[in-house]
Amino acid sequence: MTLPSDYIALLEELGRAFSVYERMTGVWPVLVGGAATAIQTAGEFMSGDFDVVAGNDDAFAAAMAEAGFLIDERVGRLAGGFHHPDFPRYGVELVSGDLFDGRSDRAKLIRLSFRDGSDIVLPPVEDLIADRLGQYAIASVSDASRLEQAKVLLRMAKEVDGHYLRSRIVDEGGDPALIGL
Amino acid sequence: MEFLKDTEARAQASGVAAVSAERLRNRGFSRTPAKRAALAAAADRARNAGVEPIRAYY
Repeated sequence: MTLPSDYIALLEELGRAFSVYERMTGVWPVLVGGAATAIQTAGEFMSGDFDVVAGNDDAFAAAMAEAGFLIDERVGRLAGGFHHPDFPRYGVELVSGDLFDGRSDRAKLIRLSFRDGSDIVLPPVEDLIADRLGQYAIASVSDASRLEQAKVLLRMAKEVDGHYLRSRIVDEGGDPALIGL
Repeated sequence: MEFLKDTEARAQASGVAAVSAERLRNRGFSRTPAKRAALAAAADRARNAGVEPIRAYY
C-alpha cells in the first residue's frame, strides 16, 4: 500500500503551516498519533486525522490560516480543529500539552522536507511505538489495534534505540514484553 | 520523497504490506467526543465533496 496522493499533497500544505509556525516561534510543531504512524508505515495503517503538538495555540492557528486551512466550525475553535478546503476528507487537530508530556527526546525528531521547502516533523519510531503501547494499555480489551500498530512499526523500523524504546514504553504506561523487550 | 519510498520498500521487505489494514484500524471504543466529532465532520465534508471518506470507526 502507498499513501494516497491527496494525503501527500495535504502533508505538503501542512508542512507550509509547520514552516510558518517555526518562523514565528522558533520551534517546530510535531505530527503525532495516527498520521505519524501512517507515514512511518507507508499507509499500511491509514488515518485521516492529523494530530499536531505545538505549544502556542494562537501562533499555530495563524500559521494554519496562512497555509490555507480553515477552522473546523463544527468541532469548535476551542477544540483546535482545522481542515483544508482542497482536501475535505482529512482533518487536523491541535493536541494540547508538551510533546509526550516532555518525555520525548527532541534531538531524535525526524524532519521530512518537501520540494517546495516546507517541512513536516515526526517523532522517532521509538516514541510512536511507546505511544501505541501506552494507548493499548488503556484501550478496550477487544481492541488490539494499537498493539498491532506497535508491532508493525517495530518490524519496519530501520534502526531502533533499544534503551530509549524500553524507557519510553514504560513512560507511556505500556508493557515492553508485548513486543519482546 | 525519498523517505516515503524507503518506507514503502521496508513495508514490502518486512512483510508488513501483507498485514490486514483492518487489523491495524482503531476500533474507536475509547475516542473522545471531540475526536468523534472531528472524524464525523471529515466524513461529512468528504461526502459533500463527492470523495470517499477515509475509513474510520468513531
